[in-house]
Amino acid sequence: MSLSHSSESTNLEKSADPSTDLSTISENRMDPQRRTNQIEPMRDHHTSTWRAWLFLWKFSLFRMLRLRHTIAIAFGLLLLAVLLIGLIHVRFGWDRTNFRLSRFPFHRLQMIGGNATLIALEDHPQYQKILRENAPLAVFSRWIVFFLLLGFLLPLWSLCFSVSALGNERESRTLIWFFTRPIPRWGIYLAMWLALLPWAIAFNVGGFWLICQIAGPTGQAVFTPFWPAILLGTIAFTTVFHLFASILPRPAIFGLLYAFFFETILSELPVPGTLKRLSINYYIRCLMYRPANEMKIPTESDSLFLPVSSETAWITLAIGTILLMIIGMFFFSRKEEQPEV
Amino acid sequence: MVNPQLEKSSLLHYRPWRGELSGSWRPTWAIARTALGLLSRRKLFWGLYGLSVMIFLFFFYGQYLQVFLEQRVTEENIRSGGLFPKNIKPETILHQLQNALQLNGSADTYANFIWFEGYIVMVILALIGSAAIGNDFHHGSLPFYLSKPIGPFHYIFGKCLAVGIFINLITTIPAVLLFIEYGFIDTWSYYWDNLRLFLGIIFYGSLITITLSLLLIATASWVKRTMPMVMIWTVMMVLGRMIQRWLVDGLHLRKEWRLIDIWNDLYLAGHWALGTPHEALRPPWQMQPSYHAALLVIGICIVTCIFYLRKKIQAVEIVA
Amino acid sequence: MNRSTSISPVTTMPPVDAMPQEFPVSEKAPPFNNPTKNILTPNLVGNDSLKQSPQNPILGPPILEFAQVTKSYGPVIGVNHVSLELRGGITGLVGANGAGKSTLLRLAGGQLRPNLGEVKVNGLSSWDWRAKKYIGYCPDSDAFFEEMTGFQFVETIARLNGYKKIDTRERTERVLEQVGMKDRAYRRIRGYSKGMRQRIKLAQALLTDPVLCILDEPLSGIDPIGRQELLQLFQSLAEAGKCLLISSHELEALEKLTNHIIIMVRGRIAAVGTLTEIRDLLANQPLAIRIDSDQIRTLAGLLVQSEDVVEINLQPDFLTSAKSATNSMDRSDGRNASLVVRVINPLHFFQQLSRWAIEECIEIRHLEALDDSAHAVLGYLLGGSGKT
Repeated sequence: MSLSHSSESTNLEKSADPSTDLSTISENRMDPQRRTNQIEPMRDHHTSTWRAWLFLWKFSLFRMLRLRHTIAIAFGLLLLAVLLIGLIHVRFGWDRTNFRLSRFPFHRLQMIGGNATLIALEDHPQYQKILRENAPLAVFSRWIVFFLLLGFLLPLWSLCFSVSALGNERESRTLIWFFTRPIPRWGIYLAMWLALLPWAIAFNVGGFWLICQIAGPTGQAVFTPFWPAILLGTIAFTTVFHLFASILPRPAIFGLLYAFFFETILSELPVPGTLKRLSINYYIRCLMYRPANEMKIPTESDSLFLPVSSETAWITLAIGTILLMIIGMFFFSRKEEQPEV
Repeated sequence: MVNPQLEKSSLLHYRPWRGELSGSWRPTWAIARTALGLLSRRKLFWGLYGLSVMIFLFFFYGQYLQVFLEQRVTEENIRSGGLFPKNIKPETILHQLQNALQLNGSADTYANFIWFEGYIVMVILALIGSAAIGNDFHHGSLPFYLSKPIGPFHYIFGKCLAVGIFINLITTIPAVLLFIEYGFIDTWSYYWDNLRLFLGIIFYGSLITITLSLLLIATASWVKRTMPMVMIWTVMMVLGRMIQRWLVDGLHLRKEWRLIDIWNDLYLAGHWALGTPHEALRPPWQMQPSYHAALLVIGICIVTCIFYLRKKIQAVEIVA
Repeated sequence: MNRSTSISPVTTMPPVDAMPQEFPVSEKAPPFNNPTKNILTPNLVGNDSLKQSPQNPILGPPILEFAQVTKSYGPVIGVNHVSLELRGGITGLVGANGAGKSTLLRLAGGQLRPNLGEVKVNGLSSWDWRAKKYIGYCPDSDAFFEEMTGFQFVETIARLNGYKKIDTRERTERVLEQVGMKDRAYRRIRGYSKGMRQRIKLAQALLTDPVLCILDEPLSGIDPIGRQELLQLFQSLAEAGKCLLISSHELEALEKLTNHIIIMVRGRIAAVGTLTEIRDLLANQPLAIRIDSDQIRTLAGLLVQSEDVVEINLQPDFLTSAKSATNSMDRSDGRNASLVVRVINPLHFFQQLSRWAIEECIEIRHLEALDDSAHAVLGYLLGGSGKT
């Protein structure tokens, strides 16, 4: 062990000898008040991984506030939706029956033969269909819930928060401060997902609630049966986009392609078949269609849509979410962050 | 002045640059080239470009198919080749092609083609915006450009040039290729008879280039990061379209509400340039605002972007 | 710095251009002459990391161990077949840009996983999150939570280490004091100078009293006075039992700080040891030596006969140096000039010179190896460029 000894003595000599260059310079230049570099024993403080993880979750949750532009645009979208729905509610209402009837031959018959013709036509299947499809609940569900919320707002709000949580840390190259802490990487992945989830839920479920409130009694009637599907859909979408954020270089672009080219197109394919079962949107619709049918809200034809039962949809979404989380945690645990990213 | 003897005697010495500085507009090409190189190195870009090429190929072979069917429409059935030959009625396919896509070398063909490229343009612009422009603001490389002997507008022009090249690669150039293709499968006189169409394609492409590149640079300089950029472009190109259809087709509000969809405005301006009469716009049941209204909205958009960018670039020391 | 007292075996390599690619650059040496077994210092009271180590570090396993580690980025090899062990003290890591220093440090800090081999910290894989308790990592990247103040940043990092809120403040204040940032800690990081940012990075690395400090270019951007303060801090840390692995382009600074240097060339460890030791073993590379004597021409005549000497230069200019200036001897006869000779086998040459000095009664007033500085050594190892 002569090497160790000699090296040690050399270095110790260096630091102990006041005549060496280093200490001389330090002695001469440093202000006595600034000579704070002497190491004194630090008190032993207990550390806890669980506490660190909890702090990381809380920190990430509030760090989302930094996404000023994203939050501003998300709020802007919500405001736009609220204004649009408020306009429809106040000016047009949700009952489109009269408007639709006015464009069909029934209307002309009524003009010629009076209301008696309508009574005669009440049992006509086409007339019944118009009544069903233009009832307030049906119109609100089709326009706002299935078209605007499921087709646009839900994927976009989920995408923006999911991608921003990890993506922004990566763009700012600040992930290193998490990776150098004694927290397992899968824990970091989980904490960040749990931190973004309240934001996504706040916008998706909260936004849905607000929209329903603005729409008056029609909207309020729709909120209760549909919100669980929106919640589960939010969780599933955020899991997918969080996975994208952890493994893909441009998760926002991939997420956009997924949301608007895969999910929307696939789930609304006007053909039968089971391909659409690969999309999250399909299961959310399955969850919604059951209460919709109970409320006599017309949905897509069963022969075309081939829905699964609510239970199957719940289980599929839950298992899919858990599976995607595990896959994400696995990949994130093994992924190296390159400094130039 | 360097002493020639000294120059001969030693190889390593200070040698002043003897070239001449080119004008301020020359570096704009360098700025554009840098942005082009940056994007062309990304696999994702080529994947998206592949999608746009698929649309082009669909139109390209669709035109062939249309002419092929028109020539054989006298036959009752066409027997297709392949492993499992089928007999097809040519009228059916012809009718669908004519109604849906107008694959007949008319103004509708080129306007429809560019319309269908809209979603790909949206995604690619979001990518370009964050990678080639937003990063300049976010990572502070804008002062690097502006420290050179160029003005802010040279920088904007350089970036517009890059964005324009990408937009034209997806829209104008394939549309011109379709135009050339149709001349080959029709007769060469098609080119001279339809010169207005060719000029219309160029005008339409130029208008898209100017409008979208300015809009992109303005949004990228505002939000900088990828996700907000994606949100803005999605709202402009997807939600805008959804809402205008909702308001006009669903609620039967005034047709001017369609002007909120910038891609639709450009489509109308394109039709104006291609010489389509307003009443001939398709589908016939879809009420469209006047060409002049669309052009006015585009003009306002361009001017607003220029003013915003002027203000933004002048404040670069704060931005960076 | 007394280099002469440090005589220890080192591993070294011929210049890269002469190196066969298959040749393992740094084989793990047997325990008795392992060059990387550096300073071993007593334990520190109150040191969490050391307390958690079951063994006494002096006798126990190495703090940082690289075993046949290779790391590649696609077709580019970042670190190639590296083996080393560190047990304490300060180790400097030098090499040209792209030599693999940062990759080696990231591997040590658990930010990268090796493609081949193992990196262990206190017996745990450095990639393992539990190993992070022992590591204080100061990265080279300049990314922070910019909206925070320096204090908030370090406090946040402390909380991310799992300290209680009540303990965090004490630790944060303490560590900010150590790096000389206590009075500037309440300004936003966004407005910090580069030197201040470096200090904050250093502070977060020292928060947990880590047994292994991995510092990537910690002196970059620090002013000369601040540099001395930090060098002193590193010394203190080493004395307190820490193992410091420091990469730097500031070779002079590293020379002042430690005599234990790892030289990396193209992903391999080209040499490990003190600069003098490394230089001594580079026997094939001519070493420039200055000799001051009264009988310089007589000595030159003798030196010409030596096969070790490849070049002799008479250097009267050295008379103006501070040491020689005091000498009042006549210069005109050249008796007081200096010789600068280049020799290819320094050990043999010094023995021969000693013999001549005794046999021919030649008084040698000054003997100095001119190019055993880090730059000269690097210049040779990097194939002559010496650039870092």
